[in-house]
Amino acid sequence: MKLKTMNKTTRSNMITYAMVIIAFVIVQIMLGTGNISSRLQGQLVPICAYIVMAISLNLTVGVLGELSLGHAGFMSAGAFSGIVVASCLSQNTSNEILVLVLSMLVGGVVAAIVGVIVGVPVLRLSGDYLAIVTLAFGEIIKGIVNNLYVGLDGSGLHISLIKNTLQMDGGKVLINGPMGLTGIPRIASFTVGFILIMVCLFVIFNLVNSKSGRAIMALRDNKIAAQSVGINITNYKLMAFVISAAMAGMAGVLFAANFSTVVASKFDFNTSILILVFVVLGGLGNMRGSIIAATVLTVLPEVLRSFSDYRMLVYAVVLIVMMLATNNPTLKNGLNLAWSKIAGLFRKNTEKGEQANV
Amino acid sequence: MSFLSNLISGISLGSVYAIIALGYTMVYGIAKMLNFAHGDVIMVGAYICFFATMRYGMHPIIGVLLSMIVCTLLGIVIDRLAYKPLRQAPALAVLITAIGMSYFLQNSAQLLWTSSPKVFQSVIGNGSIKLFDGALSISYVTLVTIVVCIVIMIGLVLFVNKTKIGKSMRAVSEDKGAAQLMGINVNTTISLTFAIGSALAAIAGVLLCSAYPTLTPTTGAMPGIKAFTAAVFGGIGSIPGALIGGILLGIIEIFAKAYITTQLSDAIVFAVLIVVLIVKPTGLLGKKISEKV
Amino acid sequence: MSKMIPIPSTGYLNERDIGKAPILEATHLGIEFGGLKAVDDFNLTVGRTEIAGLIGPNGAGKTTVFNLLTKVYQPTHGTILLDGKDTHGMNAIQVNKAGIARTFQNIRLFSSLTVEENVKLGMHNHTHYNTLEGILRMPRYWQEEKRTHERALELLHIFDMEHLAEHKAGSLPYGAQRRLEIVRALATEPKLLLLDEPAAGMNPSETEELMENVRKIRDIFQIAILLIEHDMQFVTGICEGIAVLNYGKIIAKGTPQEVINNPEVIRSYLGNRRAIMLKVENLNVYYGMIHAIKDISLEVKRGEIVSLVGANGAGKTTTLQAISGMLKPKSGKVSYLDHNLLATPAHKIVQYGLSHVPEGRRVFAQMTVLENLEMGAFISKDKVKNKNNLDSVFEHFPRLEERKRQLAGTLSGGEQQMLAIGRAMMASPDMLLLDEPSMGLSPLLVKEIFKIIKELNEDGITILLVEQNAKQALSIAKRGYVLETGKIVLSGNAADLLENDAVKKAYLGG
Repeated sequence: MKLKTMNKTTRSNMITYAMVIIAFVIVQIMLGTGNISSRLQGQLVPICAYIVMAISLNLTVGVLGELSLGHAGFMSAGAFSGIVVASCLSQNTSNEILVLVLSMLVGGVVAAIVGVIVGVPVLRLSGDYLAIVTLAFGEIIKGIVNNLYVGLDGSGLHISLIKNTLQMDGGKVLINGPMGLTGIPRIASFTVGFILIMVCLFVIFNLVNSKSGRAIMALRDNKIAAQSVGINITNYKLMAFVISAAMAGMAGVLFAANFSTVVASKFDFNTSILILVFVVLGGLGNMRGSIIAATVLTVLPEVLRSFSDYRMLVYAVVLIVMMLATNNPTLKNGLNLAWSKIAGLFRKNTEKGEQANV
Repeated sequence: MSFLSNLISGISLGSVYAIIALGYTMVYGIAKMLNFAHGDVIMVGAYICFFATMRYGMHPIIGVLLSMIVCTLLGIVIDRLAYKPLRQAPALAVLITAIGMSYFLQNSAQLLWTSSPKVFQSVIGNGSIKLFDGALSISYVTLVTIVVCIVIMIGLVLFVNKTKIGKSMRAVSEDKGAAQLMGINVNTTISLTFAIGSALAAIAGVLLCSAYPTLTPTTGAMPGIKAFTAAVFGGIGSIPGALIGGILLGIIEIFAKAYITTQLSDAIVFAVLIVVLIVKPTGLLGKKISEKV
Repeated sequence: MSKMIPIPSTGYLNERDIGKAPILEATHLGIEFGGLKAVDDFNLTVGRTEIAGLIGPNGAGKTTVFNLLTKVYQPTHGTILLDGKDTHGMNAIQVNKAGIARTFQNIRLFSSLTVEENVKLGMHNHTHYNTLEGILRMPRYWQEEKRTHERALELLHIFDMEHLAEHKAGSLPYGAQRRLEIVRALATEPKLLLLDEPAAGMNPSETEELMENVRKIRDIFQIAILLIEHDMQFVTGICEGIAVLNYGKIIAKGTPQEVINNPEVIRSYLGNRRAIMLKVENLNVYYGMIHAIKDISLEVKRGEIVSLVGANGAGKTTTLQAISGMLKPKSGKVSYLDHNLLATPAHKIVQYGLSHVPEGRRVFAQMTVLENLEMGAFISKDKVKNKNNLDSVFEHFPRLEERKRQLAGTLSGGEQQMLAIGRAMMASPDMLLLDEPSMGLSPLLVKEIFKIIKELNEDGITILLVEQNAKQALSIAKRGYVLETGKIVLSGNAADLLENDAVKKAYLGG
């Protein structure tokens, strides 16, 4: 398609793809030239995972319009199942990329199955009640994984719940209850993270611009009208929920494979909220915004490290002020006025052909 | 006998949940928002009482009163600064603001009082009564908690049903526009609700820490989430619902710990919640709201 | 217009459609909400290509009939045959697939999506590719998207809206939103199209155009159209058959001529010095982009009953809400005695002696009758006065005294209206703003309410009355204003307005 004939949405999607690719290339160059701090380097894979979490949650919250407070639960389900598979596979093959991709697929499928289990009861609910159920599911998943023991030895996988009753014949423990995943093969790479982001973006953008995506957005805008034109509410709600869960599962595998140990409480309510904050600050339904918010807000606490004790406090204040500034009519009008004044000055100072992008 | 003992501790824990849940439910009923910072007001209440009684040696009653006053003011200030400007904003924006407020309170507490746990000494005393020749022992904390919950409950029901101010709160929660036409100041009424909810949170904080004496800046977070669950469980917006939801939640939690497994007790509590919501989508005493076509 | 041939017991069929099975046959249709029969024994037959109208006063159950036909509500009794097929057990989605599409009284567009996307959503079940094909952009996706795009533009062309295809539905002006809803409904390829107040909020020339277009739609698509509308000119101008609904029951059926001359219809539906207290000057109210109130000025003198009449959506309620501070006007002046009401917070206005009885009563359903009345006296600390006011309310409304311990939500519509008025009286007002006090009440109760309004006025309370029941409202008023799409088009002595031909034609049924 030629750039001229593209409609607004397609153009915006292309910009988002381009932004991600350019960011990837820049980071690669920086990595190649060693121009990147080791701390930031360690953040690269988690940032990719959080970006995928944010855009997938945006599918539920922004596109479907239902609040989910348990998105980290899907991440957890994916991470734990995927890493078990990765541990098993990496004993037989040394192709890390293949192992990672396969385990991400498994993590995605398991999270999708959990998504169906969560989604089916959720279909009866909406609004705050739906939010609390997702919160509850997140906590349940955390509780179960926290008490799960999985070991691998010559005779295969051993699983036990609550107490470590694994009858192991040598081998190694993969999930050790509250100690979480141990001895994870650290196979995650920034490149795979980048590819995952691109794939998820591709799926979400193409979904949104198809018949099914329109149906999902129709539910958000007006359920009764959606029914009146013959749209099956149940199917599309579940579809959005499950796709979102599957992506979170894959992100979980990517995230966990970046560390040697990961505990279940890493994926708790606070993580769900963190992701939700990315989505809300980035803008509901705005994938590019989610990507930027996830990146900035993951790097920001690191940058604020010099503030040490105050950084989370600053974070909280920033959050509140952002919400007030963007949602209070008086403040918002004031800000808009200020913006347009600044933009006006800017326009005067630049040539007419240039468009101020505010 | 252990059954009875478990039941009583369940009711006691549930009473704390119920008192916290009241704050959630009243604020939800009137401002239609989930005040996620409510759990952290509990923590502040407990700290105030801790310093008043332990550090400055005040009488426990004064300590409790002081913490109620501080929390009441805190509740009003939070509402005025963070929530009032967002009355017309989308629910999600208010929710995120409340979460931001929760982070703010937790991190302020950490700066002021450090994250090292404080050992909270019960304001009630450590004795217990023995029944059935000592086969059943109930601590004073347990008893006082239950009694306080009952008193608060009765007081609140009377307040809301019998006083003019209480009735105006009900009027505002039903129809803000019509309440305004009666000459009721809606913003004042909402502030009042925050004040009451926060004062109750202070009491809950003191009771909670009297029973479970470790106090840290995140002490309020989990009980807050559970009490929120209790409020939804009973039907959010309903005062009796908060009581029933809270007590049931406490009993389920203690029984799950005693008879199934300690590790999964939280998961079981949440699973029961989900089942209840699937069967009754608006909670036990919640009202069904259908959209007008 | 073709002649209507009566068919015993079920209704009327257009000549053109005789010999063909009707598209819709509803028999003994009914629904109860908590004992209240919102629709009762509703019978209607619509011919294959008929344009039929459903009229009746507010609260008569017209929209409920639509909700039953489209299964937003499941009927408690009766059957609906669509093209000979029983829709029993179907849900809203299946009914749409079976061939009924509708629009909504309070526009329900997918407002954050574009106009084209809205229309494409109408074609959802006629778009043939699956989710995976969509995500992977397989050939079928491109074919179908191209086809539906072209079809969407064709459909939009009916209303000359192709150029708006890329606009967000929510940003369209009101009239265009109504038209888009019709296009979206058409896109589902219905056999029967239900239009709920399609002309509401449109100006006369827009209405004229809409009439043309509705006819065009019928001719092109050869479908049946059933519409609810208050604009009698529209209904009589376009419908071949009309059914009149009142209190959930059909009271008359026939050709437009037959219906408007039917005595029962006329009776039940078409309807009977002072210092300035309230002065409204050049009031303008916007809802987003919509200019709802256009430069209205009016005044009410002490001791008067002044009626503000007009069709649904003309802006009557908005005017009252702007006066009592429930919404903020963009510009204008509202003064009451010496007070500038626009600078007064809503909850303070009642202290000046101006009480507003809002549309739809808005009693506190979860509180008792007595508690509701106490809330009415919220601003007053004078116990003796409150007691006297309470006695006086009970004197006017003995029924409220009998039910004072009952929850307000359990009262009937008429009793709730009495409670709403009584509640306002508890504040000892000098002036009352009454918004549609007769809405949804039986003729007997309407009479009673109007009698009470007169009594209150005789007791010295000044009244500004907003009513759809224009005849009744004007017959008790001293003066009246006629509101049309946000503008005052006529004003004068109530008696003169009652005799005015234009008013008669528009609001009193010719």
